[in-house]
Amino acid sequence: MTVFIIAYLKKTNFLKVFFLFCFFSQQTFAGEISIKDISFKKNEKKSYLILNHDINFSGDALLALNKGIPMNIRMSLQIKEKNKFWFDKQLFAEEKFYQLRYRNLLNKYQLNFDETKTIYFDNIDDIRSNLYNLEWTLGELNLSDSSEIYLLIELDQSKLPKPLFINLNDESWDMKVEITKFYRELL
Amino acid sequence: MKYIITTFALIGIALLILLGKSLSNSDLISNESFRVLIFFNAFFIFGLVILIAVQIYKLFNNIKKEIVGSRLTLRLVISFALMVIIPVSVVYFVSFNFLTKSIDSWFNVKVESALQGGLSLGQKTLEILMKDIELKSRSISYSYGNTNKNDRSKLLFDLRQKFGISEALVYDQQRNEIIEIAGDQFKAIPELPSSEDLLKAENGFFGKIFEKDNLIFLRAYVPIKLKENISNRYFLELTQPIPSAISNVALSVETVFDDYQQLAYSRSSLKIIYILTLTLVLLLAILSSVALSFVISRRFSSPISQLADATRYVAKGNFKKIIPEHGKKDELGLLVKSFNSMTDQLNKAMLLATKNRKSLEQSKAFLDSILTNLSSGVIVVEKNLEIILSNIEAYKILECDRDFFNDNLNKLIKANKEFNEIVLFIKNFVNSNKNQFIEKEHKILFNKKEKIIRIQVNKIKDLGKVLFVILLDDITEVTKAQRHQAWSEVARRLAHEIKNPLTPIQFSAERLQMKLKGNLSAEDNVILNKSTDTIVDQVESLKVMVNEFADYSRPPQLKKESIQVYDFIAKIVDLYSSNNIKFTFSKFNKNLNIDVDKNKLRQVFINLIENSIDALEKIKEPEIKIAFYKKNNLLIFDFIDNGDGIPEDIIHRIYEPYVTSKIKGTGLGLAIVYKIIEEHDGGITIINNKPRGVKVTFSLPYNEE
Repeated sequence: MTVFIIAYLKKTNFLKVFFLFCFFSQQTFAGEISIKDISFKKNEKKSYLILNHDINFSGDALLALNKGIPMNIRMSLQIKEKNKFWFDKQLFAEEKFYQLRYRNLLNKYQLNFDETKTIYFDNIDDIRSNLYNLEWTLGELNLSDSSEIYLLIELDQSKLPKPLFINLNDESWDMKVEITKFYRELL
Repeated sequence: MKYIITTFALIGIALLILLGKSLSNSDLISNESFRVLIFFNAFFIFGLVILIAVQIYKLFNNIKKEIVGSRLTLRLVISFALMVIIPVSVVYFVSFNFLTKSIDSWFNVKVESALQGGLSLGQKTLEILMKDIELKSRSISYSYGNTNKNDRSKLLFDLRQKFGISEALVYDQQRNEIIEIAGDQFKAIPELPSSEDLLKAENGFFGKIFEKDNLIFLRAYVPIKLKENISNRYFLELTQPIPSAISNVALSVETVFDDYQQLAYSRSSLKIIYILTLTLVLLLAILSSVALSFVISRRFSSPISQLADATRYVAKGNFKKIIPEHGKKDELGLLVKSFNSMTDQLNKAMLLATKNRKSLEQSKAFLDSILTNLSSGVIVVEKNLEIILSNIEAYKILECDRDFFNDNLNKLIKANKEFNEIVLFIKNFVNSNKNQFIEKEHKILFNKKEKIIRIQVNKIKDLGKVLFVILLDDITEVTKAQRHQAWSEVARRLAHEIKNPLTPIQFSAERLQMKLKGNLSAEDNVILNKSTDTIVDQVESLKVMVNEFADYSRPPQLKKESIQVYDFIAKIVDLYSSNNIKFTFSKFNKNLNIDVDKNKLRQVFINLIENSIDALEKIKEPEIKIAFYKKNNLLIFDFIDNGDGIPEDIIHRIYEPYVTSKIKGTGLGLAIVYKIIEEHDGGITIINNKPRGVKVTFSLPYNEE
């Protein structure tokens, strides 16, 4: 029986699948997201946060992107008023999304902002150049020195295809950047 | 425990369903939840393994402790587990193979080529359409630039219609405004062309394809050279949606191609996830089944275990064990019912037997009680003289250890030869085959003590078995009492018949002496005086003897009063102080008082001292030791002299009247002593003292108060 099982396993590449799984789970680098700068501008009564960030796909992520797998980027901004002896007061919280996708039919990269604005690019580097000056409208928000800004930009793994998602090694696909800074530090 | 296992199994089944559904329906469970579900399943499997391990450990522990039913449970568990594991394993390996092969088959070259071809076809179509719009845009641009200014709008409108263009506009880059617009789909002011697009169009043409509302659009940019104004830069923008049929097909092909590419990219992952899911499902199925098999096995083996357990109880004699029936109507239920009925009947029979046994025991105890309290000895023997029943009095009478009475009567002969006569008597009757009973009195000297035993042997038949009931009565004391009674009667008659004529005889002799005193010669007078004196002396002697007889025979009438023992004895001893006898007191307490008839007790001491004086007549250093002391509820008196003692042949009869070792004396002294002590409810023993003399020990009841 044991001989049969071993022979069967050999035949069915079970071990290969297992090693593939191990190898797959140990892929290390898929890309990175970086924040270049954050600035503020005030126009009449309204305040704006200007974000410049860069995204660099490589390895598995670039391969996946070129195979037509959409990459969803989630950006989360939270602004809190820090209190020393009480709970922090949340002044602003908003999430933005954009999606990167390669259109095989059009032979172009497609960038979708919040499913409203769609831009096509010939290559991936052109997309990166379009990620400048993303604007967050903060409204009539008065920021002080004690205002704490938390910004998270990450690849939304949960929107990846299920088989890929299950096998993702958290570290290698963990394209994520987050900063927590006080307003005075960003001025 | 069964509830835990059932809960585990149910959770396992729920997880199985959830896992299966999650694979087929993406909307049901999100990617994050799916990962949690996978981990939860893995954790649950681990929990199941521990649960099963605990169950196995407990089962083996039960087997070690030899708990009934545990082996059967183990067998059932193994059977159930094998029933599940073997087919599920086969299905697993087949499914595993099938799954990997199936996934591989999805990604064959033909499919990929077909999809690639479809996509290329779409791309080529778009390219052709783009070429077409390029030609059209160049033609319109040329015509527009070389037409008079006033006719340009009309020309643009006409050419747009002629070429079937959806939208057309002319943009003045210098003024950054749209100067001409023609189209039937504009619903709002069109957006200005982007500078990047125009920059690309400066070389002659720039076209781009975009998707909007599930339609593919072609947009072309060409520069316009106006004949009257060469310096200004104008651009023509044409927008043309491709036919919806082509657009839908192209987009569908792209979607399928994307899906295929995604699947191809996730091919390995897909295999792993399906295999992982399959493995988890298999493990969940097997482990849940094994866990359930414990519950089912216990459920199956429980009645059989209970039966086996109850059988053990029955084997140990406990018939009260009832197995719960639970209303089962199957064969096991019938078996349990029959078993309960059987044990019930056995229990009733045992209760009846116990009742009978108790009744028998009570009868036996009653018989034992009667036999124990009988003053007669009872021995029941078989024909071979094997003793089958005896009472305590029998071995007291025959002065044997009780052990002999568990054996054969013949052993008595070996143990006590004094009883040979009795045993032979019994043996002769037993062997004689006579049917009547016999009775005889035997006088035996045992340990220098005379015993009179009356034996009665009766032949009885019990359940066809011949038994002999031997009744033994020690009638020594009875005989002694009868003798005393007889002597008392004799003494009373003698006293009565002799005492009456003695006084007239004495008076007559004295009167005769007195009347004839002066009338006779001196010689006759001497004879007369001598004769009358003899008569008077003998009459006095007779009176003393008659008084002693009278004392012996008089009825017991005690006049008890308290006396101080020491003073009482000392006064008696003082009466004999003139004698050359040394009286020694020991072990005494001067303050001891006792209730007695003091005259009679005085007579006891006088009789004992008188007897000792006679015995010490020829002893050089005569001595009498007197001691008295308390022991339990008795006051013990020891009276010891250092005389010659009593001959051994008469010492056992020394209390009887006329039994004496003295030459003179009536032989009534000790008989009177014995009688007085008996009247006081006391006891007396007379033995020869060692090295010499006699030791008389008598006891009287003593009350502390």
